[in-house]
Amino acid sequence: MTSARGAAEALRRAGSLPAAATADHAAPPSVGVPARTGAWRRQLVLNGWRLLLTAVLLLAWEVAATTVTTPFWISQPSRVFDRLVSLATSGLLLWHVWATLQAALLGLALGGVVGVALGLLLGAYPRVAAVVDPLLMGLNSLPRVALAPLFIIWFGIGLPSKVILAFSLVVFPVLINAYQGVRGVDQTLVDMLRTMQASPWQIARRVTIPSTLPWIFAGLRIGLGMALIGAVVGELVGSNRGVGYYVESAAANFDTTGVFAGLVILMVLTIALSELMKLVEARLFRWRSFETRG
Amino acid sequence: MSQIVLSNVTLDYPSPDGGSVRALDRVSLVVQSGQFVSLVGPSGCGKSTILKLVSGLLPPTSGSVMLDGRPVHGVPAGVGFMFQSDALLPWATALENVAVALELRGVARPAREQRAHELISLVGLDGFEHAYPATLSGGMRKRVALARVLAYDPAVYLMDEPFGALDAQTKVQMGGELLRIWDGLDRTIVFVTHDIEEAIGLSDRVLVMTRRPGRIKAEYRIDLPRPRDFYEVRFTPEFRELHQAIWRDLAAEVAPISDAVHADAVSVGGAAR
Repeated sequence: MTSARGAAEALRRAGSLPAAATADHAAPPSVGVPARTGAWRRQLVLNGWRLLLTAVLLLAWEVAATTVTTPFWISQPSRVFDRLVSLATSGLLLWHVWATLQAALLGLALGGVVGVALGLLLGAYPRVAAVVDPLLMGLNSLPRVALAPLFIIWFGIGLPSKVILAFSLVVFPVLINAYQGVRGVDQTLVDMLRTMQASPWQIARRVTIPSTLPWIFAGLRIGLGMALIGAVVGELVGSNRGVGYYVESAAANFDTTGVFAGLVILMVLTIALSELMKLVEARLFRWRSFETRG
Repeated sequence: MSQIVLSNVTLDYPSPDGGSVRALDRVSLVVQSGQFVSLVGPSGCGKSTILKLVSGLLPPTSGSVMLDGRPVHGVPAGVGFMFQSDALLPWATALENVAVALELRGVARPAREQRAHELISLVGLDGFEHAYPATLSGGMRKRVALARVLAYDPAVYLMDEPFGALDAQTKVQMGGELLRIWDGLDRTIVFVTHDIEEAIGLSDRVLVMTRRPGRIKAEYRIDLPRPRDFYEVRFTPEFRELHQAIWRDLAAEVAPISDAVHADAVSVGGAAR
């Protein structure tokens, strides 16, 4: 699935490359400044509708919890909110979030490093890539979540089993993206630098690395979500700390409010991290924002 | 003396079916130092291949390629290449793209930026120094590519249909600019094109190639006085005579449609460029 997404992106980029207007001298590229005020207003209206939709859904839930059924089954937004506040003030929130975050980020880092290294290596040696391709495909199609009990037998209920599970989910999308990034380097750019007697290191620094980085980051962005899934699933299956553990133990006590509180925490965590990632990407790859305009 | 000498150069490309396609067949040619020489020929005739041989990007299958009396092994110094696509780094601004040529030679940042500014100005792109390639028009990107090769300042310029993808007006404009800049330099240019008017207007000599496997079929000396007006010169009787003669040579090489389709099918492996 990652490769399909990558290919689509490559196509889109290729398609927008000849962004050549024929007028040779136009005004310097104004980055959409005149359209700003209109766009700003539209954004405001859009956000208003989004807020309204969320409010309606929450209200429906709040009402349904006391009319259609009881809070025992589906809890209630106000109760979930109270629980979140008490978790936050007692310090338990941070304690659990930190455990989950640690496992996810360590898994992401490990998967990122190994995935990038393997992807670059396979990109450099296509014959090796052809040999290991079926093996990687096979491993990637394993439902990693089902491996969680195995990892817990091997690595215990502490942090390592969660990190390994997150790693096993992260490594493949990163690897596939890094591999495709290297294969997609424009040979003309390499030739261009070669004719100017660039050393292999200069070619890597000027062409290979900058053209592969966006792919690697796309892989990491997918990997981030995977890492959180890995960490939480590991905690669900066996642990004594973490947001996944909190959800699991709440469910064991028929505490639906606790379950929903845990889910809200995970949702906020995932959104915050991926927005952070997008921000970093936007800063790093400013040049790409122009290519998609065309 | 930057002199390019190809003697009996043959080049075979591997073809998809495991065999090989002969792109060049015993090509011999000499380019004197300071000359502007154009290669014209039907598409797929190996014009671009000749440039790749001189730049050392490709080794010949047989025969020899000499530069300044020395055989070309690997990428030689003092040879600049302007590609058919502009080959700009999409992640670098116009200024950085030009400065790359200097950076590779170890020129310090202040010096290379100053030089890059001068060259951007020379090609008429003042105010676009910090624009990314994707925001520039085709013609402007060619100007950046031209500024970059000027920054590299090689003794020999190899230009592979650099203005081929441009609209007619921009093409004439760019040709004029190239002539204006070249007139002030003492540099050798080998220019590949399929545009006869462009070839005559720019060059001292025009070499006509056969269809694949490419060979040099005819040579024309262009004795039109310099400095030339790249556009106006094409209304002189001498120009029209040359145009007609070269056109006839070329027309004989452009195969009937059915053959051409066949040739294209064979070249799917990317033989020509």
